[in-house]
Amino acid sequence: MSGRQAVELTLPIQAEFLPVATACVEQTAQAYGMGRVETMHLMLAVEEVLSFLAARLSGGYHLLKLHCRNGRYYMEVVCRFPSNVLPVGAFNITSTVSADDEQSLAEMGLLLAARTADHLAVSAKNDDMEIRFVKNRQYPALPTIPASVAMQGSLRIAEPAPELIKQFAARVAGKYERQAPAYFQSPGKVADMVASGDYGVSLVTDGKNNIMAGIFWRNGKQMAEAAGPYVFCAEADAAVQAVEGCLQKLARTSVLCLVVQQPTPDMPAGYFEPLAQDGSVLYRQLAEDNGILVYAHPIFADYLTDGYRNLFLPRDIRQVENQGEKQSLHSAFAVRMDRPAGRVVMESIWAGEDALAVVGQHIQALRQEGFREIYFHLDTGVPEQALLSPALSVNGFKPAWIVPWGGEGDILVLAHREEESC
Amino acid sequence: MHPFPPLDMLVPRHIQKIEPYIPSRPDDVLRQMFGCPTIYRLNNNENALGPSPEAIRAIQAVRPEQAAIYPSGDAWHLRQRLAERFHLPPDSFIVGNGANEVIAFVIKAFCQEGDNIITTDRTFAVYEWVAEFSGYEARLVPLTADYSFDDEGMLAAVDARTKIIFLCNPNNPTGTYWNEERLRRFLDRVDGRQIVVVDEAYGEFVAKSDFPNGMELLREYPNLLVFRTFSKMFALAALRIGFLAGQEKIVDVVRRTCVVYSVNSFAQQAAIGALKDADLQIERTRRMVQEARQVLCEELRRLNLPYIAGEGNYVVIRLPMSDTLAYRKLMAQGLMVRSMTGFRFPNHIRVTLATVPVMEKLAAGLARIIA
Repeated sequence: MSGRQAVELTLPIQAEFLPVATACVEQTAQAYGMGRVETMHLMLAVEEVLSFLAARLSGGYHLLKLHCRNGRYYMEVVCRFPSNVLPVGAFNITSTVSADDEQSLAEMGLLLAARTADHLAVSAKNDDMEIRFVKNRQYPALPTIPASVAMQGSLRIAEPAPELIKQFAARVAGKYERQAPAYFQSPGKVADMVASGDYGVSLVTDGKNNIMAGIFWRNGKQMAEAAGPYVFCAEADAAVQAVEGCLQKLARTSVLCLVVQQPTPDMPAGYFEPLAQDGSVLYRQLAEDNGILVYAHPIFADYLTDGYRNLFLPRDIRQVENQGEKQSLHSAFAVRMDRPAGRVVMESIWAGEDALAVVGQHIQALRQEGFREIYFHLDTGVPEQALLSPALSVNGFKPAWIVPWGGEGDILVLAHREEESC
Repeated sequence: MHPFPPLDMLVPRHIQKIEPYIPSRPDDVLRQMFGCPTIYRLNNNENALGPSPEAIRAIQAVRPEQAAIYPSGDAWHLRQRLAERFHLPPDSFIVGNGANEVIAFVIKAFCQEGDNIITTDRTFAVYEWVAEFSGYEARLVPLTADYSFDDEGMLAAVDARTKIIFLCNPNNPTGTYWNEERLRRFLDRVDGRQIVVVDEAYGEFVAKSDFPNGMELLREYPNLLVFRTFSKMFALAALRIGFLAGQEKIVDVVRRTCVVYSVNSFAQQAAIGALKDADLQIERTRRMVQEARQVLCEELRRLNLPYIAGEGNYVVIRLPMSDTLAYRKLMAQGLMVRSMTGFRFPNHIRVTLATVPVMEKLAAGLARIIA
């Protein structure tokens, strides 16, 4: 459905076309059935982005492609434009500020856009830049939490029909409350998330079609991220069946690995490997790993060596560091903000000489925006990214875990602790 | 530079959804990556005894100058020998570049847009893959609780657009099989409405008296096609050669989709050699496999590891850990097994039954990783 309902508009990056862009978003959002408030937020976000771009163009005639997509449980707007229309540093959310200027921090266009969206991501794709923002559709809150039901008959894997998914979501919200992601509070939304194809679910029912267990995951190209497992009976096999059902569904797909952040205590033993030392991140590969070449700066090389040894991962670690060669002047970083979760993930678009300062500006801006969790995903498959390691380390990022096959190579996840910031 | 082609428009949707299959790296690269001096290949169900004496003689007789000459485009000589061995006309056979190629020939010959094929969820993946990357639906009927093909379920899944039903007998990886009575009953109920492919890639490993010989059923069932390979029992995996057999009228349809000249001369010569002493090869291999199965299963019982040991030269082992982690830990010891998540058997590995000393090494390796 989402592909067939996509709307695309090409318009000049000029302030005069602001009403055209916002009208397009407004009309499309209405056609998608988005609520008035969400529609307004999306219009504001587009207005901020187009104003931001128009104000920074050095001249010439450039086009912006506005792409709207109905994600069923959300609406997505992507602003795409050639990456050469702006200087490299302009793509940073901090591009207009000096780190010391509190007033200008508050006025950054992309951060303003981010405030009205639920998710914002700035990224590079081929020769284009993309600013993507997402507004979630509003769903009614959970009406009633179903009473727990005694198991009747034997357990079985069930086809995830919408009514079963809604029953599952309501049970998760009832039993696991705030330990489970907030979307479980809206069963209709969870059913739409599965119907969109973005998410998958493995459900275990008893003989009377009562939900006894389940696990929920977000599909990705190479990596899926799961939540759960959630169990509603004393039968130990329920969680095993849910997890095996998930693995069987993901087998023979493009997904190479499955990550579970904050697994529940119901996670059966023997299916996953711990990535974070405290067991808060679990991992499992879905295919045989026969090794790759990875790049590491000496600052993080020991951590990677130990990590790979512990995970029995065959890796050829090539150490890289700057040996006085000239780098590009400016850095640019992609950010993926999850405002409801207070989490942001930074990634490198270009590594440049100003990385130390620009990373620092990002941290300051993001902390000021109220983000509690700041992560940097360093792709070990891209040698230029290893060169960022000193700038990240000095700014307080520390290795947290490795996600094998999370990017071009493995992703070294660096976490930023506020008190460690320089 | 010229503009990059618009792949979104050029590539069909069913191809866009598919990821390429990435085969294992060569052994020398794996040895280096995993830091192990030797690799025992227990992942592909290769025959540890190697080719038969006659097959080796045929390979040694290959002259380098033959490389300049095209092979027989339809494996003419090999088909004469197959005809003699199986008492069928030469035109009942199509030889392919491995059995995988003949799977593609059959699907291409019978399916068109909107059609489907039926197989099971936990079997050789290539039927499902070829159907899907060709744009046809693969209906996967789950194996029964005792890991056998579900005849009732498969029949229930048939509709007007079902063209082919794939049975792997014995099944890879479970080693379960339909006996002759069950296979006949199934073929009777299909009653010629669909093509039934019985893949007997591991058929020569089965010594049970009730195991059906698909070749002998071909005269009675015109909708039956039987697949065989020289890769497993005959240990010619590197040469990529397999074949299908069926009644000439059906085979003639499949032949229209064949890529001729796809099987090289050396493979054809080696296969002809392999047929000369096929019975010797089958007998000695069965003996090795039986000994290996006995030794390995004893060790698995001692280690408290559940297993599925049916027919074929492989055993599936259930582990108390992720099979992909077990793969890496065993590779570090030079033991290359097949992780089974991709076969929809999470936390299982499949190991090839090889010589007894190698089975003992495997048991020791398993003991180390579960300790």
